[in-house]
Amino acid sequence: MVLNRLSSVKILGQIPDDDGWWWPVPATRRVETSDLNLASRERAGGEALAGHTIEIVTRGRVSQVGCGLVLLVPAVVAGAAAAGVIKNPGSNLPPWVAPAVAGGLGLWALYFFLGLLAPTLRVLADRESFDPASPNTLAWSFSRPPRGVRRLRVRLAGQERATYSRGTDTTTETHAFYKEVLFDSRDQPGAITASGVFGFQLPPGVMHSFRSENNEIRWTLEIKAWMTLVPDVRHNLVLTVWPGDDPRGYFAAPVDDLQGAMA
Amino acid sequence: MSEQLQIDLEGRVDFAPGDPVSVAVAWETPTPPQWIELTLAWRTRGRGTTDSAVAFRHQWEAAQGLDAAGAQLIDLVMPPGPLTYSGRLVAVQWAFHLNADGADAPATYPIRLGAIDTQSDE
Repeated sequence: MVLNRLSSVKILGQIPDDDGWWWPVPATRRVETSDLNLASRERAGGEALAGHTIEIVTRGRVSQVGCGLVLLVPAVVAGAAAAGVIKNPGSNLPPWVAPAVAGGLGLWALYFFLGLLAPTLRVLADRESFDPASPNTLAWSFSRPPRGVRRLRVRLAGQERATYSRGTDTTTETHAFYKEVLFDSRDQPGAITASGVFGFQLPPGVMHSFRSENNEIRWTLEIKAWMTLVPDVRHNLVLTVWPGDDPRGYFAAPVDDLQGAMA
Repeated sequence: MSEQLQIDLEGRVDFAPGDPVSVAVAWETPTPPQWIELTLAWRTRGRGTTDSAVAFRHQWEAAQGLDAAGAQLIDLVMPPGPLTYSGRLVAVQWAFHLNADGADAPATYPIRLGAIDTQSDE
């Protein structure tokens, strides 16, 4: 059997966590019962997402800590400016400058603070790796009705990433070799619902996910929601693309079997 | 290129993951070698710093009775990946390498693993 014979390869060097291990860590995680129930509901009466993985949560671009910091900045500026104006009445600055600057910074901070109010977006997958040439399904779910979402787009991208050093500088060059819009609500008026499912298929023969120390083939699901009045929600999720079963299965033989194979 | 070491796969260069392979190696060195080593390894080429890893390694040692000239046959199964690829910035290449103590140079036998299309721009 092929898998048993491959065990001799494992013991001779190519195992997970070896220096030469090239299989990317999947972005998805093991499914939980509550996730399956959720996914089932999200498929609008269809079959439950029957696989083993689920995940992918997007949030606004700023965290609560970030919002606190950006709110703090205009307050400090306004305070300092006000103190300067009071202590130095002979300043050349017109009296309206400090409040205007503080007000502008405050509006900027408020804009980002409103990002916290944007709904979170979950994308659900029913598998850990995606096989080119096989149909794949993804489901999405907003944490609450997406009233402020003007447009939702999900794009699949394949990218080469090469890292090299010159002197003390390290540079990573990238090249996008594949891009496909999987879903765009602009093409489907009224398509932005609280949840939904879409299918996609990669063309056969594309390069699989690969990662070594300085070189990488990265497949990404680029999700962007254009929002009204608040910052857009965007998130890039790294997918694992592999033709066929997860190659880690090749190395699943118990240690005793491996030793037997070596004998 | 080695004049003293040879790898023979009957001219075959295309392999799929899981393929069984019989690799014949031969050597003819001035003195009996202390060791002979066959490896199957991939490496990256292209813009980035080269990465490499060995997927298979087998060594014959003097204790096994190596003569100055001889041949061996070994069976192995091709690993699952990474598959051979040639892109704009990144390429993945596979090759068998044969080296021996006292040989003039290693022998290399490039192969292709899998059937990934060379990517083109959009």
